[in-house]
Amino acid sequence: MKRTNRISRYFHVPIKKLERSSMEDTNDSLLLNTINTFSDCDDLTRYSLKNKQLQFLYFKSLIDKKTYEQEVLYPFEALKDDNKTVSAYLENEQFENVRTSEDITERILNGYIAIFLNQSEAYVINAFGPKTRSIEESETETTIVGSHESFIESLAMNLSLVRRRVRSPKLKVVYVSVGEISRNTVALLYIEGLVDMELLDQVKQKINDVEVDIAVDTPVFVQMIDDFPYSFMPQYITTERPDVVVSNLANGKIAGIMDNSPTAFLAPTNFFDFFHSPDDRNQRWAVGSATRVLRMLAFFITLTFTAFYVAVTTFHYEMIPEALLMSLAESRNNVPFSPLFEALIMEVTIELLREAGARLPTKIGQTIGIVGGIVIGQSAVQAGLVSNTLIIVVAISAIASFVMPSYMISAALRIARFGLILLSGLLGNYGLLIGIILLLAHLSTLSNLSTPYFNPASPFHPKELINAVLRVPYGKNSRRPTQTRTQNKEDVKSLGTGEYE
Amino acid sequence: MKKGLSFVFMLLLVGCNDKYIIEEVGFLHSLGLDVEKGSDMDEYLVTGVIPQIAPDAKNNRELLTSVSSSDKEALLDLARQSNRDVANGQLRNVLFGKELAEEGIQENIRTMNRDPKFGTRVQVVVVNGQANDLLSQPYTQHPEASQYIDALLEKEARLNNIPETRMHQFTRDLYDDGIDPVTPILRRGEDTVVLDGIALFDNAKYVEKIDPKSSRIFFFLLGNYSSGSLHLELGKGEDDKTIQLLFDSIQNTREMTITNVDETEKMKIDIQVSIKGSLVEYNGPLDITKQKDLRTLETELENRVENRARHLLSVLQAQGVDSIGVGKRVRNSLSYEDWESLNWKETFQNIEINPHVEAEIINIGIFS
Repeated sequence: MKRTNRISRYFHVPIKKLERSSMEDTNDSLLLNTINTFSDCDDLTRYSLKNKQLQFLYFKSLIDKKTYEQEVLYPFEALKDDNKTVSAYLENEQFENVRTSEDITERILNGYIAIFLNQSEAYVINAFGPKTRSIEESETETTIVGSHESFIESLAMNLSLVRRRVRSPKLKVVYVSVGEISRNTVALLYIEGLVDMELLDQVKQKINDVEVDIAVDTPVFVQMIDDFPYSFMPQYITTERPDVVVSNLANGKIAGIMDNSPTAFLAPTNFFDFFHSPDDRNQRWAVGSATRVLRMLAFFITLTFTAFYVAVTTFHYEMIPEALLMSLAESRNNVPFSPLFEALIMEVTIELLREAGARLPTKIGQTIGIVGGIVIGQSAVQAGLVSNTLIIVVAISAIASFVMPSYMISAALRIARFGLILLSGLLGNYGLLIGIILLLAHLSTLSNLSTPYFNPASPFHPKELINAVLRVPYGKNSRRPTQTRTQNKEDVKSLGTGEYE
Repeated sequence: MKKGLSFVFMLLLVGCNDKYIIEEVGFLHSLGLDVEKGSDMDEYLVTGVIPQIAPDAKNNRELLTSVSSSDKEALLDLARQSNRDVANGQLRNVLFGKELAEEGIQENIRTMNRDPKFGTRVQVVVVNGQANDLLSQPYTQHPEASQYIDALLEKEARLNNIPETRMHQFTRDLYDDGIDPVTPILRRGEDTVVLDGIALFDNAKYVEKIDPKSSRIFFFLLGNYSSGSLHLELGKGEDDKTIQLLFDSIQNTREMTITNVDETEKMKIDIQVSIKGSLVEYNGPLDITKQKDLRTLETELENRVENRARHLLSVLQAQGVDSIGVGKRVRNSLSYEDWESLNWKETFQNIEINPHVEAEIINIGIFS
């Protein structure tokens, strides 16, 4: 019977097979060569069982101690001091004979234990099992109703989170490696029959084309594979939630999970994906739709509210209702700055507050709230630095920016907002409109995996657009989105995974 | 690069160059235009009211006056008196003094329409007296006179006691040959501004006003309106008390029928007015809880309204101002050539116009 250690299999991470070096190492140098490769790696552990001529090489930090003891240390200690017995034991299936020092090095780096017999023969056994944190609730993508699991920094665990939800052999996982030094694994997940193979090839090609020494994390990595590196917009949606990944897989999308990263990316992405939260789907359609409309509203408020204030107070006093005009003019009366400068001061202050709050521990974060709320909110007005109305305007647009379920898009929009404020401060409503037109033009220009980013608004697919802006009730009429180019637009039963919008 | 540069230039060369930062703009709220008496040449006495935004100023408004030969020049003159740019993009009311209105305001209306900053929602008002006098009064109960006037006019227009004559409607009626424009008319009261009825214009010249008590009757003849109330006195009762009747929440419809449209002398116009409303107050001898008495009261109401309407029409005909738009209806039933050859003003004065009123009391209140 095949003897497998459950734990080590569970955390097994397959590695890319190395090409064999043209010249095989001479047996004598195998151990020495390996040790030489790891020179100055003080965390490498070397343990010898002298009387059996055995040497173990491994990284304590990468292996599971229990596996090591049960599979390697205790059995070998218990064996007779006889070369034959040891050799025979090493013939067991969990040990793998390797011949080159490159292979050994690769294995050791992946959490294997290398066992050298007489310095010349080498076997490896998988004992990968570093400590990982437990599965917790996502802090960036919380939901009120629904699953509270989120990805962690272990690829195996992340894959398990997805596989648990899609119990089908049609869920395929393809490994691609990235990073010349770091050699990170990226797992590409898709559902056979739903995914467009051309898109899949494109992702693979893009990942293979990446030339980088160390790919640190998914958010870094996705910026290396996007179509428009100079754009300020996020182009791949990233998520920490397995349920989001699964429902997007069901739409025919490809998910990419990198090892050591709790973030997965989804491709192809469109602009409207950033406005969706699993909560929309968990709620009744009316509530979900209302929330999505609210988010679209928040999108416009974030972008244009402050800019509109600046344009109106600088150029278009005719547009303001009479009653509001009086209080606006009164609150602006003591302010020494122009509306544009005043707005920029407040917007930068809000950004400072936000950035300070993001980096600070929660205990000090409260102080920031007090300083921001009371000192800046009230005293700045009393001191006559900014006007009352502007505080309200800036606060509303800041709140609106936090409504966005994706932090990425909200950060991008805040940048765009500054551009719009400048334009409307210089050119009035004309400038504001120019800015919005430029933004729309840019959004329609962008592509993701050579599919249009602004789909379904441009190219225009009315039914799909309704689906993207509202959350229509689940029913027979829902179709998979055109962007994924899936061949299977409607048929649910043949696949066995029915969850999609 | 070239593309980018040209785009930047495109941005910078157009756009709003005329900055109006709100606290630096003195936005005229009301503008009063009068004829300045006494000088050998006619000059305008222009009064501008700008709401005050400085919180510690003693006055709630900035009142500027100027005497000059044109109203545009007067605006420049007003600006010379203020620490803010005087702009008329937020103008709500233009008040014409009665004397100026009698001379005709066509030229003023025309230039105001030409200025794009001049909104079409500006209320055109005639002042029975001097606009300057009305605006410059320190109303103790309403420190901000122009907003007071504005609110007063808006409320009264909603209740159909005065027509809503913003610049748009006034200009429309002015250039329409089938109707003559009307405006509200105001006068100065004791520490208040009082609505003095409806000013009737012959083209752009003020000729006559309708008493505010009859203004609802005017609306019966003008078109279909709802809301508003009508107060009638139905003679003396038993113990020498006048019988009061208040007809409220009125909905009225008007229909005009023309007979003998082809012969100018024989042309006859019937105006069918039907009014519906609730009887709020009645202190006469009739028992209004009885259907029969209620019908009697309705007939009484019909007769009273009809008489007053006839009187109103006779005033209009005597002055030759077709403020209720009979001409529009006549024009619709004539060919263009016939209408052009018709001297409508003269015809209007001579033809027979009969109002027929049909009243219906929908309810008499809940407690009776």
